[in-house]
This record gives sequence, structure tokens and C-alpha cells, in this order.
Amino acid sequence: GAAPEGLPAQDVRAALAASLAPMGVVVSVKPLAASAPAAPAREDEPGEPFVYTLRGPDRLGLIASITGVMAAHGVNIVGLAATTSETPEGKVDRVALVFQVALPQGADLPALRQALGGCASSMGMEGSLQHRDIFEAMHRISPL
Amino acid sequence: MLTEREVLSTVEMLKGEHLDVRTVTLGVSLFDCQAESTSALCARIDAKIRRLAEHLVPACDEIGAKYGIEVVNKRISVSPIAVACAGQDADGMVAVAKTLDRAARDVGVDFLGGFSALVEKGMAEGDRALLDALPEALAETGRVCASVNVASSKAGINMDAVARMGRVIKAAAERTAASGGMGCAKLVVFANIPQDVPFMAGAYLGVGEPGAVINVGVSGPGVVKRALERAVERAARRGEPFSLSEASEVIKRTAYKVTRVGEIIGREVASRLGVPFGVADLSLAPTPTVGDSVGEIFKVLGLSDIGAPGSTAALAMLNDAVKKGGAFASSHVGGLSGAFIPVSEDLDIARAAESGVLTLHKLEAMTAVCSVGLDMVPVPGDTPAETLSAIIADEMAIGVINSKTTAVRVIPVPGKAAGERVSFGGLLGESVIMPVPAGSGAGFIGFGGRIPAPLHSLKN
Repeated sequence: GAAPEGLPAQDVRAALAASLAPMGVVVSVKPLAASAPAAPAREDEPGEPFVYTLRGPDRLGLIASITGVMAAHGVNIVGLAATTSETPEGKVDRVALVFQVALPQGADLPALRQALGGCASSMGMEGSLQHRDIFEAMHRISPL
Repeated sequence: MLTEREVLSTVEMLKGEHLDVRTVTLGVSLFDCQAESTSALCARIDAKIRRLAEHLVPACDEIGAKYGIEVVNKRISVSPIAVACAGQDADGMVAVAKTLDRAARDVGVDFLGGFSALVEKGMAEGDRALLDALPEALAETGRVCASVNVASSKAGINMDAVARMGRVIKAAAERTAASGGMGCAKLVVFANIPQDVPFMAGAYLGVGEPGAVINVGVSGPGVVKRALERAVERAARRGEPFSLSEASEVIKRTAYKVTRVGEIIGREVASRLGVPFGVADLSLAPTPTVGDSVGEIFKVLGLSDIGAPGSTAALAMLNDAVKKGGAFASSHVGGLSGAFIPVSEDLDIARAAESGVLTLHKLEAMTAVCSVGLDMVPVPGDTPAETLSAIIADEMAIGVINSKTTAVRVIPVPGKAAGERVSFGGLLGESVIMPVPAGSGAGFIGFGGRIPAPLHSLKN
């Protein structure tokens, strides 16, 4: 709750205690830090659905390397699709890998991004980790 | 089930087509900051902005990273200062402007809008003080944006205020001559100003808005352009027809996707900060970057340049299709919500102005069918105040008669003539100085008074 400006916490507590004690209610009053954020981040809940895309020139070992990083961070892969493009001569040159993943509870998102980013650039690829809701929001007409 | 095509098209929009959230703007009401003294007022304003905006930038960055979408700008809009600080004189208003500037800098936002007055029917004391303070406030601060609403469809046009604003703009330009008259780039004169615009320089938090609110503006002219190009190519490849009916559909569907980005980010930032979500402004807002241009869309639509014959019709279609797609995408659409045509802020529009294809006459016509007005238009430094006022009066008339928002953000660049160049830097861009039409309306402006509200405003 919000107390009138300038009213000390102990006065609030005393007033509440006086009314509520007869009902057997114990009162405690603590000032909220003015900067407390309103809602916790959702990424740490179990199995938050993310999508990881990896795009660039095709080469051996892409999937093996990137899934190794994912496994090391406890990321569960629930779907994988690959799209390739070809040169006019019919040789596969570029690939786009789309991983649908679930992040473990308490995942360290910045660390995961850094690890994935390092692996991607070491292979000459461009990667992007995004919560799945953004794709659903853009391509579906169901409510957010 | 998400298809990989959907995922990859989104990624391409974000990485290759300049899709981003152009601004998340936190509105902060300052009506409860009134105090006996200027210093107490400024202290309350400062404390309130810091308290409410403390987590704005980190929340936007974190939520942006979660979805892989950059929130390019975080901004603040406040209650119209002429009203919120009505007891202040001009010096007090300047002090308030400096307070706003400092608070904006310290919480990490690049612009703060709301140093504003609403004078469509007449001026009150606070309005006069703010107008007196404007040139100095704009010269002495870097992040504060100002707006003055001089007309509305309900009230008509306050021609005294229109006359005054021509002089204010000249004074603001003179005081910021060293930066090319940059003070004027932070000042907009409006008809029918919306009270929830997230974009600068016209953002302010209106009366009737909640104590704090999040409004969001996305941007995707590059996405719309690429979608049109792909549709044209695909139709050609398959031997299918591609007419303006199809073009309008493509724009509408693309606008839906672009606006959804703003909706999801805006709602989550609002929730994280514990404030209500206000509106998504679905405008196509360009930046001076290749591929992020509204002007380029005109080329795909078959015009040689923006400003060529056909531009008004093309813009009408674009503006309308954007509104239709965006309206379906968001729970609450507001702000300006259309297509912007700012001359210096769009590489292609600036180029069309330089080549002479785009003139002030054509820009004026186009403002009748888009959601802004004459925006970021550099004109010769010796343009008389009365001419600036007459240009404003014309724009206001378009807005008032057509029940839409129009505005003027014009910069008379001191010491420069038509054909020379000016650069404002950053997002404000650069451009050639555009010639002003010949002839004078000084006598007309000299009459002053009020142009009455149009007949169609009698809706009671």
C-alpha cells in the first residue's frame, strides 16, 4: 500500500496494530524500496520457448558445434529445420538453421547469448536468439 | 507450429530491413508537482522523473534483447508545461526546461517532449510565459522538445498564435544559429495535436492521460519497401497481375507485422515498469539511413521520385494501408499513426528536394493525406516571420478542415540561402535548403484574430 508522504512506518504500524490485534492479526510494516521493479523477468521460468537461428555459408559441423554449446547450457532442442539456397550450378552455398528450443529454469541468458555468439562467429555465421512469442505475434492474429 | 519461413522472414526484417522499435516513450504526469517556488517546483519535477524513469532504459534493453529487437530510442513525454507550471514567468519556464533537460540526461533518454502549450482558442498566462521562454529554452537545452497547438477542428485557428509562432521560430533559429537553427528542429506547431504521440518533437502527455504510461512507436519503412519489391518480383516471375490493389494489400499486411512488434514490446515494458500500456503508434518513421526510407517506397510504387506527379495519390494509399494493417495489430492505436515525410530525416526525400522534384508546394499537398505535416523542412534564413506564419496558417487550415493532425517543423537556417546545405547531425539528418514560394501573406497574418471552427465541428 501507499502511505501519505512523510508518515513514518512505525506510526502506520501502530495504527494498523491497534485495529487488527484484537482479531489476532500480526502486523508488520516495511518501506518498499522506491526502485523495486514491478514484475519479475519471465526468462527464468522452466522451459521458456526461444528460437535460435543460424544463417550463413554452409559448411560441415555447424549443427554439431552449435548444439554442443546448447547442451552445455542445458538448452533443450524441441525442433530443428534447415533451409538451404543453391548456386545457379546447383551447389548448396548458404544455409539457415532454425532451432526451436526450451531454456532451463534459471538460465543465464547473457552468458548463453555470448557462448552462442562466439560459436557462431567462429564458424562465420550470424546467430540470433529470440523468444518465440515475437514470431507468433507477427505471424498470427491470436491475442498477445 | 512456427514455420521456418516465418522465423526467417522475421529475422531478415530485423537484420536486413531495419525493423526496430523506434521509440518507447514513458509519459510522466507533472500535474502533481505544483509548488510555491520555482526551485521547489523544479525539485519535484526532477524527483518524479527520476523515480518513474529510473528503470526505463534497462527494461527496454532487456526486453528488446529477449525478442531480438532493438529499442532504438527511449524517451519521455511530460504534461504540457504551460499548464503544469502555469504560475511561472518566462524565467521560471526556462528553469523548468533546464530541469527537464538534466533529468532526461541522467536517466539516459535522448529526448524529452512536453515543453508545450495548447492555445487553439486563446492564450492563458502560463501559455504566454512558455512562448516567451521558448527561444532561450530551446537554445539552452539539448534534449527538451516543444510543441504548440494553435488550431483544432473544434476551436478553429488562433491566428494571433500563428503570427506569434512565426516570430518564435525566427528567434529560436537566431539563438541557435551556430548549429544551423537546430532549436527549431525541437519545436513543432500543431493543429489537432494528439496527446499520446511517442515520437519527437511532438510528444507530450495530455490531460486525461494516466499518471504514467508507456507509448511505443515502431518503424519499418524498409520492411514495407522490401515486401513490395518481393511482391512485384514474384508476380512478374509467375506472370500474375500486380496492381495497386495488390500493393495496398501487401502494405496492409506488412504494417500488421510491424505494428505487432511494437505492441509486444510496449506491453511488456509497461508491465515490467508497472505502468499502463497506452498506445502503439503505427507510423512509418524513416531515418537518414539507406534502406530505412519512406521516399524509397515511392520508387517501388513506380514514381521516379517522391514529389513527382502521382505522389499525393501514392502517399494516400500508403498512409491508409498502414493504418488499416496497424489498427488490427494493436489493442490501442494512437499518436500519429501514418506515414512520415520528414525532409532531412529521410535520405531519399532529401535527395528529391535537392534535385528540385520535391517542392514545398507538393509537400503541402501531401500533408493533406499523411499523418504529419511539413516536417524537418529547412528554408532560407531570411524568410520573414510573416511568411513562416502564413505557411503555418496553410498547414493548420488543412488539418482543421479535414479533421486531421497537421504540423509544421520548419527551420529558417540563419545565413543560408535556398540551394545551400545544412546538417543537423544524427537522426535529424541533413538536407538542401528549400526555396519558399514567392509572394507575401504578411497583410493576412497581420490581421490576427481567430478563424472560426468549421461547420462540420458542430456535432453536438
